[in-house]
Formats: sequence, structure tokens, C-alpha cells
Amino acid sequence: MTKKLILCVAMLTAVLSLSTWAAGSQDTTASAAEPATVTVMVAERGTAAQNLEAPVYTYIMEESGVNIDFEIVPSSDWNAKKRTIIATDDVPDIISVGLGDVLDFADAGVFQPLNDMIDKKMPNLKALLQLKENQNVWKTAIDGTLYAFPTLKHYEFHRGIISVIRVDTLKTLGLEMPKSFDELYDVLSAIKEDDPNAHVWTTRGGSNNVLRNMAYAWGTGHEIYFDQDLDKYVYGSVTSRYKDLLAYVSRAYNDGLLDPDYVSVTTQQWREKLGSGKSYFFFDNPTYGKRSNDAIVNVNPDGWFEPTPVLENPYGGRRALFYDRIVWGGWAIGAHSENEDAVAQLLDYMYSDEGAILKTFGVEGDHYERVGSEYQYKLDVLEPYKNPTGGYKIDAIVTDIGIGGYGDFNPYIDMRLYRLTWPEYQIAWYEKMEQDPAWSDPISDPPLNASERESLADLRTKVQTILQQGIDKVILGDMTIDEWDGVVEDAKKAGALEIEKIYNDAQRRFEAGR
Amino acid sequence: MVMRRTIKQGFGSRIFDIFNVCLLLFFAFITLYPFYYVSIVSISDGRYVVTGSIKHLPRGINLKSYGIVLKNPIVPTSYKNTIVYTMLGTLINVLFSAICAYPLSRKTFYGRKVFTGMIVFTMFFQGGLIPLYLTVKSLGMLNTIWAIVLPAAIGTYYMIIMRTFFQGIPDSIQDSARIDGANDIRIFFRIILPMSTPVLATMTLFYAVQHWNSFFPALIYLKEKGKYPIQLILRNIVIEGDVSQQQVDLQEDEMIVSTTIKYAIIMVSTIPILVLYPFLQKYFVKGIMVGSLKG
Repeated sequence: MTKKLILCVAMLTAVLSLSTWAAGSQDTTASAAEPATVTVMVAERGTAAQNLEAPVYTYIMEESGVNIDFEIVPSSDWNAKKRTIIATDDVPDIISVGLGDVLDFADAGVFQPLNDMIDKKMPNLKALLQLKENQNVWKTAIDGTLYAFPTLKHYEFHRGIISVIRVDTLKTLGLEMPKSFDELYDVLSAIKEDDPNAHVWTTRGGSNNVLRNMAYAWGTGHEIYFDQDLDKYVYGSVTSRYKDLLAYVSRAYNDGLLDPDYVSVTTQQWREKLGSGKSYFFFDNPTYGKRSNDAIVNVNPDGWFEPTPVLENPYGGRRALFYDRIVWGGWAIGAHSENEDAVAQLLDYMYSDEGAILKTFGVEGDHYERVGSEYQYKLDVLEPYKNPTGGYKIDAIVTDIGIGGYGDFNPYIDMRLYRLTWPEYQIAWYEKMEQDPAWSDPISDPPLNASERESLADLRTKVQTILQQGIDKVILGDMTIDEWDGVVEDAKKAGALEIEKIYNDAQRRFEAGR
Repeated sequence: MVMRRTIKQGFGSRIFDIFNVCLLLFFAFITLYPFYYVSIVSISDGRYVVTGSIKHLPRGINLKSYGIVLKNPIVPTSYKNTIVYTMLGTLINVLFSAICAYPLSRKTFYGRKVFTGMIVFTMFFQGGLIPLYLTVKSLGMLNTIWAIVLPAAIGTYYMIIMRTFFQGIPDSIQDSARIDGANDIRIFFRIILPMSTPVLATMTLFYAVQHWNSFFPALIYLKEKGKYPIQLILRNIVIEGDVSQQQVDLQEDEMIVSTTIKYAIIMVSTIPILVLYPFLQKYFVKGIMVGSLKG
């Protein structure tokens, strides 16, 4: 028995030793002579490891004179961890936050107010915030005070949601590229006639996504939006145009054009349908046109998706919205951080032209070369990352070199990074959009005060619940389009117009304050 | 020669058996098919997967995805971490559960019902995540293995099962040990535990599986990626992150992990525990038996 006892103690010791190994004890305390170390809590995607030893980070630390220490959180559970950290007031020096976090927690004092810091210690960011194109950033302020450094764009490829169709099929069937919603319906009907088993028009994310993506181009909007023709916020879902749109979608469903599984199609299933030739049309991000082209070539070498022009709506207008220039949310500083100066120094370097170019193209001479005003990646450096289907393995580049775009530690995004994976034809799509006057930048939500946010939380839930139930009933044919008027009345009674008023009052206040 | 006499089954009984077999085969199929599907996709060529043409058999068989998964340096590290957390965590769980269950099983223990009631109360009402996080932080356990293994040192339900088992051991055995001069600790380690191997084996298995599958404490309490268990790495690869729609849309094919890699890592992290199950299933069956509460 004594032997057994000794064995047990030995096993326990062994396991405890292992645990000490697992727990590790990296000494991150900087000595007095070293530059300050700033802890940054960032999300990490499964395939793009954040690597502080990458040359770009080494360069950023040298140039800014600040050391970085990453607290890595898996992006799959980023919100759970972030919310716990914020709710327990255990925020590190820098944390990536969404607008919702700022609205919910800034009043509780877990983030540092930033106006003074920007004004006195961050000349690069201060200059950027004075630019007209960045004025929307102030909409994230609470009573005029910013609590998160914004994520801004250094270089933008304008693009937005649009209708995308199989042009090879149009050619085969002798059809013209549709230019209006009416023509689109005829074209989709002709494709259905030719291929009766097809789910001609596929979508993802249920009816909300279908209507949200189409509503602005149709001449209205889904839920609350800023209508640039009317120059005010409108609760689009209760307008008569929205009713017409709903009738259009419902007719498409009943005529077998819209995917019969539209309620439950996931992004993966949607991509499979497009990539396998089962579907011919979608109204979504045109990036998926390129992805579908990559996939469909395996089953049909002629298969080719391309965006349509902005379709003329039944009221004679043509309009579409680019994606927002501002990435909502940004980078907050923990209230207990003692490294404000180092944070300001680090981030202000990253808001400089030099910082943005470094984060996008890498180190000059090593990863890119300047040819006139152009920055060109060195192809020999990128060669090992080449994709067999074209473009480059951007995740591996992010990890090895340290460049990065969305989702990385990067407050100043330069979209030329994405040229690494975009073929020329895709860039041509975006250039065409930029030249078309039908496209415009969206107007963001106005800054709301605490009582407005509270009222809206309640009103939105009530109104959206009423509308959502009605939308699917109409599309699926369980409710006639005329009965939709009753739903609209109920939504108005529940506060749809009150939401409009709150938004417009807040916008007027914001404009007066600027 | 042994003569076998079989009871002749009636027609209804046969129909019932056929129905039963069909039903169980159906259940077996719907249980096994997902595993089968994941395994065939993980060894198929990605282009067949994106076009949704893998249904019953793998196509373009290759092991590229497994190569990618196993070459990722974080996979072996997190595997080691999972093994350490599972071993240490299970040891602590079983030891502490037994130490807690034993006195509660003794009729002579003063205030037994009150203590049992207080412990059972925690099964239904908990403080929640925020107080727990603050406690772990104030004890200085953040970013250490102790944050993973100590807050859940005792699973109340499993402890109650153990208590029930201990209650089944006759008092007379302990009385005779006491007459022979054994104290409580000696009785517990020398008499009770050796007599309780079925429940200890079952609890070990239950706790070990729980630790193997666990990811949440690691997510919340750990700050260094090098300490993450495999399940957290798995989730991050399989579940697309909490990122904005625009961000998702911008991430190109390489950034959205291919399904074959996702499925390969599911296989890699599941196979060890899957391999164990056939050997340990008899303990699971026993576990259900010992778990039958007797008050």
C-alpha cells in the first residue's frame, strides 16, 4: 500500500510539473531601459495567426518606439470574451471594440475619453479627423466625446451590393443584360423556362437579407435608413414602395424563380448553389461573383458571373449604396491603462501614411517597391504564397509578413492589400461602379443620447417582430399583399414613425453641433 | 451435445423485433452518417466540396487538409495542453468529488442534509460568469492552469452520484475497521476507495470527456495562445468569427477556411476520444447504473 501511495504522489507531482509547464510563465515585465509595452487585445481568425515576430510588426515597434504585446482571442468567441473583459473592468491598454460596446459601456467609465489625447498627442489622427470624408466618425461620439479610435480607410475601392447574373447563360439564351427590375424578372423567367429544375435566384440569410439588399435600389429601404433623395431618415419597411418590393419578391417565389429554400439557405449552401450551376442570379456582395466564377469552372468552363448595371426601379430611379467608408467601432483604451502616452504614440504612427503603407505593403525594398506613385509588391517575395486558382494566400502573408486589413490590428486600412487576391476583372467591376453616378456613400446613423437609445431598443423590437412575421407570410403566400397594409398599420402603431422621428431629431442635433 | 430449446416467437413479437431493429438501425445511421460525412469530406478535393458534389463517397481523395492541420504549430501545442488539462483536471475532480461525497454519505455526519442541500442548490442557482471571473482574477489565477482546473473542481451532479454509491457500502464494514483502530482518513483511503472502483472509473471517464471537450474556461481565463486547448483552436477554425458582414465579404477564399480543412481538424480533435469510447463504453453503462439515485 505504501508503494501505491508513493506512486500516487509521484503521479501527482508529475502532473503538477506538467501543469507548470503548460501554465508557463513568460516574463513580460519590461525593464526600465526598454520602451513601454502596450497590450493589445485582438481577435484572431482560425487561419491568420497574429505574429508579432513578423517583419512589419518589428518595424512598427522600432518606428513608433513602443513594444506591442498581443492578447490573442479566437474570433469565434471574440464577443463572449470581449464582453466579459469589459463588464469586469479588466480592459487592457488597447481593445478592439464595436460601436455597441462604446454605447453600452462608455458611460460606466471602462474606457478612457480620447478627445484630449487626440488633440494634444496624436497629430496624424487629428488631421485625419478634420477631413470632410471622416466627419461621420463624430457620430460615434457620446455627447461629443470619442471613446474609441476609429478604423479609417487610407485607400478605398468603392463597391457595394449589386445584382450579379450568369452572363454566359444570357448569351446562350440570346437574352440582353437586364437594365431594370422589370427586365430582370423577364430574364429570370426565361432562364427558369430553359432550366425548370434550377433555383434561378438564390439568396442567403432569409427574407431580411433579400429585402435589405434590394430595398435601396428599389427606391426605398429596409427598416430605418437615410434616404438621400428625401434627405431624411425613413422607416422604409412601412412605405408603399416597400410593399411593391415585397409583392415582387413574393411573385418571384410563387413563380419558382426565388430559391424555394430561401428561408434557411446558409452562406455555404448559397455558394454551393452558385458554384455548381444550380443557381444563376444573386443580389449581394459582388465579391461572390468572383468566388462563384472560381468554383463554377469545375462544372462548366463557360460559366461566368458578372454584376448587372444598377437596375432602374419601377419609379424611374437608379440608385445604389457603396459600403460605408467607416468601419464602425475601433480601438478603445482601458480606463486603468497606465500607458496612454505609449498608446497614443503607437496608434498615431499607425494613422500616418507611412504606417498605413507599411501595414499594407510591408517593408520598402523587402516586400514592395515604389514605381512613381505606385506601390508594387515584389513578386518574388510573394511567389511562395501563390494560389493555384489565382491570387495569393493572403492569410499566410498576414502571418508571415505582418501586413493586414480588416480583422487585424490595423486602425488605418488600405484596401490595395486585397489586390493580392482580386483579379483584374474584379477591380474593373469596382472601377465601373465608382464611375457610375447612381452609386453614393451611405449616410450613417446619427449619434443617439442615452434616453433615445433606450426608447429605440424597445421600439425596434416591437416593430421588427410585427414586420418580420408579416414579410415571410406574404412571400410564402400565407398572407395576401393587400393584408400587408394591416401589418404596416400595426408597425406604425408600435412605433415605426417614432423611430423615424428619433433619428431625424438626432441627425439635426448632430448637424447643428458640427 | 447441448440441446438448445428456443421459445417460439409469436407473429406480433417478430414484427416488434423487426420494427425495433429497423428503428435502431435508423438511429445508428443518423448518428454515424455525420461522422462518415465529415471524414469523407476531409479527404476529398476542395473543388468537389465547393460545388456540393460530395454525398456518399469521397472524390479526389487526398490528405492535403490533414497535412495543413498537422503542420500548424499551434495544433500539437494545444493538443499537449488539452492532455495536461484533462489529466490534472480529472485527477482533481475525482479526488475532490470523493472527498466531498464521502462525509455526505455517512449518516453520522452532523448537518449532512443541510450541507447536501447547500451543495445541490448550486446545481440550480449560480452566481454567473462575471462574479466567477472576478473571483478567479482576485485569486491571481488568470492565465494559469488553475483557472481551468480549480473553479470546476467538483461537478455537483457527479459528486451526488458518488455519494449515492458510497451510501451503498454497508456501515458494518466501516465499524469493523474502526474496531481495528482505523481512523476516518484511513477508512476512506484503505476501505472505501478500493471498494469504489466502478464509480471512480466511471467518474474519471465522465470528467475526462468533459475536460477534453471543454473550451469556455480557457477562452475566458487564459490570455496566451500557447496555453489554449485544442477545442478552442478547433472552434476558431470551424466557426467563422464574430466579424462584420462587410469584413466577412471582403475576406477572400483563403481567409474563409475551406470546408475540407475544417472537417480535417474536427477529425483530428475527435479521433482520440472516439477511439477510447469502444473500450470504455462498459464503464459508461455502469455509470448509468451507479447514477441511479437512491435518495
